[in-house]
Amino acid sequence: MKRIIFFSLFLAMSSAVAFSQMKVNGTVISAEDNSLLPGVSVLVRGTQTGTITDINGFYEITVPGDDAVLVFSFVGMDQKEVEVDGQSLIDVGLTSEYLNLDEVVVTAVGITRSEKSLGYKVSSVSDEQLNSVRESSVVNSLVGKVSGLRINQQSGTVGGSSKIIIRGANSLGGNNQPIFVVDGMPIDNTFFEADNIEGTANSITGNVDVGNRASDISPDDIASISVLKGPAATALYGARAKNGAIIITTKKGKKGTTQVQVNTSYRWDTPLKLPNFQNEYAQGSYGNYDLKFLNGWGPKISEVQDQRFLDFKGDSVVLQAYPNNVRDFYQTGFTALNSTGISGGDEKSDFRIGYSNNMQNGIVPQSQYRKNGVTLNAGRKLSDKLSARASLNYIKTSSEGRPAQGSNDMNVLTSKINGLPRTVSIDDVRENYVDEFGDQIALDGDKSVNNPFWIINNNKFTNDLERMIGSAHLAYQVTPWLEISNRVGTDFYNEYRRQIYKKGTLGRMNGSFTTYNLYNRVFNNDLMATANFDISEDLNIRVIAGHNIFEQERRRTIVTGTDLVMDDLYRFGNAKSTSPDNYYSLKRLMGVYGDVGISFRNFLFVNITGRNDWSSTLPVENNSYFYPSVSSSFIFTEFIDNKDILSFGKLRLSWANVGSDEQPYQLDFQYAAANSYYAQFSLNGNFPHGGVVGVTGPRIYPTPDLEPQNASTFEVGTDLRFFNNRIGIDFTYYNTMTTNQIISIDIPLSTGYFSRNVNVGAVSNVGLEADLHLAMIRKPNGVNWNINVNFNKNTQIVEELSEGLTEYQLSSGWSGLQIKAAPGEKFGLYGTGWRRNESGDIIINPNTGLREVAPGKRFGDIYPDWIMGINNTLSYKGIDLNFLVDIRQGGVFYSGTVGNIRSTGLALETAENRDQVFIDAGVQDMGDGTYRPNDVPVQSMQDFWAHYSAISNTEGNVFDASYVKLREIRLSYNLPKNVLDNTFISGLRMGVEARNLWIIKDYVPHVDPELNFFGPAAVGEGVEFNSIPSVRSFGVNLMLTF
Amino acid sequence: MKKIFIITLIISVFVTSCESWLDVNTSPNSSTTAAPDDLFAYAATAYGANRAGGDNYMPIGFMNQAISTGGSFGWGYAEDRYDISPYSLGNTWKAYYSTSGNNLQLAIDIAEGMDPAANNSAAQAKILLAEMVYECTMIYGDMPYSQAWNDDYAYPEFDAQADILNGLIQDIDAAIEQIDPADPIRIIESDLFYKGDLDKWVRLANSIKLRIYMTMYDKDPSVADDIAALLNGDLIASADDNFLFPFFDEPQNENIKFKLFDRYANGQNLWIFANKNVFDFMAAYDDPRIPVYFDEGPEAAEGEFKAVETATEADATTSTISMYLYRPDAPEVIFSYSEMLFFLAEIHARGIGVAADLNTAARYFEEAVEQAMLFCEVPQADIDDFLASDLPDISTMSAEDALYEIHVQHWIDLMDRTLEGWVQSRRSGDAGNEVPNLQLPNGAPAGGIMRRWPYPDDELTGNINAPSALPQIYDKLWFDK
Repeated sequence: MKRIIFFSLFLAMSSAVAFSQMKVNGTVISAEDNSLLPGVSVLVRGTQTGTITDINGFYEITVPGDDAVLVFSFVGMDQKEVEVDGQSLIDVGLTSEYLNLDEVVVTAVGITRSEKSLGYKVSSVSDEQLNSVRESSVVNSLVGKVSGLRINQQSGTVGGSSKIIIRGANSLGGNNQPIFVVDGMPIDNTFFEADNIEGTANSITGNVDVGNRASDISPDDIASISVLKGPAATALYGARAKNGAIIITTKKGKKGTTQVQVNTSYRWDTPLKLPNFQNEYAQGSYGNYDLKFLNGWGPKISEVQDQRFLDFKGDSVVLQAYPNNVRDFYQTGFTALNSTGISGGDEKSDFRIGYSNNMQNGIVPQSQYRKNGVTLNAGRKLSDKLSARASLNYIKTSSEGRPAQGSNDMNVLTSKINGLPRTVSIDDVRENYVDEFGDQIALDGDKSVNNPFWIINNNKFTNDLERMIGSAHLAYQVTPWLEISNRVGTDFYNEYRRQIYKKGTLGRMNGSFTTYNLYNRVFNNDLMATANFDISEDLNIRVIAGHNIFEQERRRTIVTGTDLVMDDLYRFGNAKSTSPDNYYSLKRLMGVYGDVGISFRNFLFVNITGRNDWSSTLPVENNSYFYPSVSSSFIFTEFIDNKDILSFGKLRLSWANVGSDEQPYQLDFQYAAANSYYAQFSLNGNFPHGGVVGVTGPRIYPTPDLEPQNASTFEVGTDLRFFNNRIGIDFTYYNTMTTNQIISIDIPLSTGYFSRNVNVGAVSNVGLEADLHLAMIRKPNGVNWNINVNFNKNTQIVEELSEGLTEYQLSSGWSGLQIKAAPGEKFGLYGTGWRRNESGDIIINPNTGLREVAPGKRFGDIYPDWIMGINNTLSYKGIDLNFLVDIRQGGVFYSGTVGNIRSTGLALETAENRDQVFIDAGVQDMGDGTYRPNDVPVQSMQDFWAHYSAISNTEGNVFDASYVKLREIRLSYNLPKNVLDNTFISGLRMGVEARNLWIIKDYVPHVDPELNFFGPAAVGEGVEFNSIPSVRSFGVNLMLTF
Repeated sequence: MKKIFIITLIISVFVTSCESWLDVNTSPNSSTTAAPDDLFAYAATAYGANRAGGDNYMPIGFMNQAISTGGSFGWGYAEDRYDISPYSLGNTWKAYYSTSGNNLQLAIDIAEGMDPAANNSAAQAKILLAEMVYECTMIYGDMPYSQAWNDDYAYPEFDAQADILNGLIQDIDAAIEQIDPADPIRIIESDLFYKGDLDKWVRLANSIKLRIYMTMYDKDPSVADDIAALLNGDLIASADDNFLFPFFDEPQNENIKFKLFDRYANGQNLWIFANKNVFDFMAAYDDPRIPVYFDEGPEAAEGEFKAVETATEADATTSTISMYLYRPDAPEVIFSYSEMLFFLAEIHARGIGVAADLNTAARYFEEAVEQAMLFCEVPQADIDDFLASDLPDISTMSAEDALYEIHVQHWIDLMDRTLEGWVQSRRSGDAGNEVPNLQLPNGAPAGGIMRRWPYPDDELTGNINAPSALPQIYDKLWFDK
């Protein structure tokens, strides 16, 4: 039945073909080394007729008529189409995908150019590479595949966020995220944090990782991604792309073929890394059992087997360790990724409709994420001169039960899970979260710590988002050499979030809830004229002139209701007190740009671009800024006759200078009606206070004469391919200097203000990018082994701040932990460290035997020295094996989780030395400038760890952030075409895949060094605090093509 | 046809691209003008919340040993070992200078710039600002004052404490001068302290002057005449004049101390304990405030009250600070009648600007203790009993002993007002002879008891005029003899 429907669809959509059968045969060879290619798929376009080449590369096929088109395809090779046109012998040479020098890549503002003509490095990722192992988020599927691109998954929350940094962070002032562009439309990639209506990212308090918006795009709808890494590449986008651009082109229908593709994956997730716990000691203090404490400082379990103690439920029990109580809390997460696409086209039109469905259940019980997307991409040539294309993408996502992270919030989950005493069974906790009256059974004797299952069952965070991205493109060929086109597009979404605290939640006994209504809209229009002049046979000039308008609008309403009257009713009428807040912002940008491209013969290409922007956010007299770029490509192998060793060589050179603007509304001296007043430990109160409202002046003293920020970059690179393209090496050196940054620098508080917006500072990022391609084995018998390595070493230096400013705080954590910029250094992690003498020995307190501390120490860089991805692809007769190893070297990492489980005596290492005298390594200050080796023992290991791993003693919780990870592995099998003969299926691929399989090496105990709590929009990273553990996934995949 | 379409499109795009299209940078979220009343209300609330919260009340109380952390059993060791979080150091400075101080300064500037000038409003803001500056210098010592809150000074210089205190007297005099009771324009509804009662503001202004002089007296005895002059003037004269910032038993308007336990400890005080430095004085006289100030530990017998040393492990029988003091609508007390009476007792006992007279002193002393007890709702009968049989009669003592008793009772009264308590303990005698005689807590760094807070990094890194040689935490402030 289904088949009939599909056939009717085909009939309706494909054009009728005349039937006059004939036979065609031939041999398929590799165009590089003339080796015979077996296993090549040969398909008659628009039909299900197909075959594959035999061991000698020979094929024979019956075609319906002499206007048939044969499609030759083979893994790792470029697909080739040949018109039969009456021939009965068709020999074909296929070129390897990697070698296609005429490959067309999408560059800024949607301009397509041949890769060889580019004077800067653009990394392209095909859908094959992208979806080698499937991911629900397009961002995560780029990990390790593009040089110069660093992606950090922030947590193991379902549908959680990822941070992307291209060629190092340039901005002191916050967002270093690239712009995402889908089919020419710049889309929104906001990460909105729940506790600040203006969306300034920085928070400790109980935040839920709700993901960043780029992940709404389904990877299955993507045909290719271009990563524009430097200002030269993004110059035409202007300010918005100062951190680079990720250019996404969605799939389109192909002429003649009507294709249905179904892609299904099922995945199972487990925590990648959980802490190692001791299982010898119960909860308590200094060896005595005490229910008050959720820790491991009680008696040794084996020594009190003759006694009975009360557990958290009030039962009298003999103590027993539950070694897996934390592991057993997490469940096996399950993900189903399903997508279908129908595409087709004729001479004048093409279309593709895609539907994707993503269902995820997280490792945290009852956490789930759903995403549904429908895309339409359709184009038509309306006449010889006028063509039109429209693309639409509707997305709905929803989630429930995503956990809170950080601290100072009752709903934070991981601290309670990791903090379970070793003698508490998770089954007991799960089954006893309420008593017979429905009241909560707390975990601790003081009844101050919520039972995690109370939170999971009652206090579910929910969000729902509906989004539409659409664009329309009209192109008119005025004369053969002049085309005028316009692309208009919009991206808007509404998101609703709700956080609840049920009545009876410890800390919010009367219950409360907060709702968030978030609306974001982006509008973009590009009008462009493209003129092509062939001055002579050797010389071509292409001139592009464009005009752009861009608008970004945000509307937010956040309302909190506290003290609920009726239980489980989350409506504001049911709250005794409500506190609403709303916010609106609008930013506009207008730009004109031009691009002159000159190409001489086939070896010299020069591009000169310029763009002028006017921004609404800058002072009227300073709101215009111009930035130029020059890039050039030179293919020097055109002058070498012998290409046996060096088959292809190209030099790239570019320079660019770009400016950028400010957030809206930073110029006026403004008074705000205050919604709340500050109190430490997240105990803020609300206005009106006693019926009185409050108004406050600004904290940031505005500067009315701000100038645009400036980034200037120089890039040189080379693309070399050796031995008939068996080896390819691509080097890029870049140097980007970002100056005149608009940041708010701290000014003396005694002026009355926290900070002032100024143009200051210079940050340089100098780096080397290398891409290595090795065709290790390319055998006529069909064995292929390719290795692709990408490498990026980036050195970031803060060249200068403002006069008199020795450091600048980029992000603040808690208890002295800070991320700061200081001249001559990279962005670093600072905090309280151990006090040391001149020779570096740690000074020990003579009374307590504990380390003495000193504030304001620098522990290292937050960014890595270098990162590398190594991708291996092995294929043999339709069987492919891929694996990707991801390496990070350098940088430091702070783990609040490690601090917590150590200071509470739960971590494995805290079980040591408890019965012994422990003398810490260090020295005693003799007070006369001399030191003696420390001989003062600590009073107890409880005191030692409480001090050593205190959250306020940063140094005890800082580790090397380097790692080596097996990021992806996939084994897939393409069913041979002859098996599928006489079926309606034209292609079938089955695969087994795994992501984040294995941390091969790291230096952080107990947690994954990749976690980050600051969120993707903040400069700060390398800090984790009660984060949900990242996950390891195993899955199966089935892709069917009809 | 198509050409017309394209041309129309081009024109429509360019027409919109004029300057007015870009003129959208006026914020719809805030205003470029404000009323002094609303700025005053914000400043007062930010100030009250800081004083009652975890950046001021708690660290000062733990550090000055008025309350105890109970060690790992309770809040955890830190402030009681002089490890004050940089956030508290910074937030308190921020409150005095920026969130509260600057908004008062803006209120003053706006009020005085109005036509006609809102002089009473400006005066109310000036008196409150003077009190805040006084508190701030009691914590940090020398600090920016004469050049603070002034756009002409990007890097305000640090003034000596003596100059600041003398400057405050002038500021308060100017405010009193500015007050015109006939002028109906004043801050009324937004005045959470006195609801626009200018008589009370004048009494408060004079009382703050007295407090400043009392702080200065040991170091600068010449202020004795000024103190004497004030005694004839208009001072806080009844509990009705108490200068209190109110909290309410309403959601999100509760006292911060209450909220800490409500939010994180299921409404029980698990973390703040009775300190022997207060409790022992009270126990010695069988003070009826003991069950008011303290709650029994969860495993203590009924009526069993006991305190713990500073920076020492408490246990389940240790008394906690009572949830009565930490009730949601407990006001933040800034100046009380009982405090004024203790000053008067001290003035007459010591003969500051007046003849020493222990009888007069004893009268004020008893009244002070009575007012202190009434404030925390001790039944009148219990107060009468205490005054009759437990409180010593200082009129028969040596001047030195009498002064000691006054300081003891003054210190007990200030237990829950940790900042005033810290000023009082440092002021109560020469170093080593203070009441109470605080000892270096177990585990605190050597050098001596904490006599000042370090300047916050927030100011030091931003201000090129900040002192380069930073004082130690045990170095005395100017007023501290």
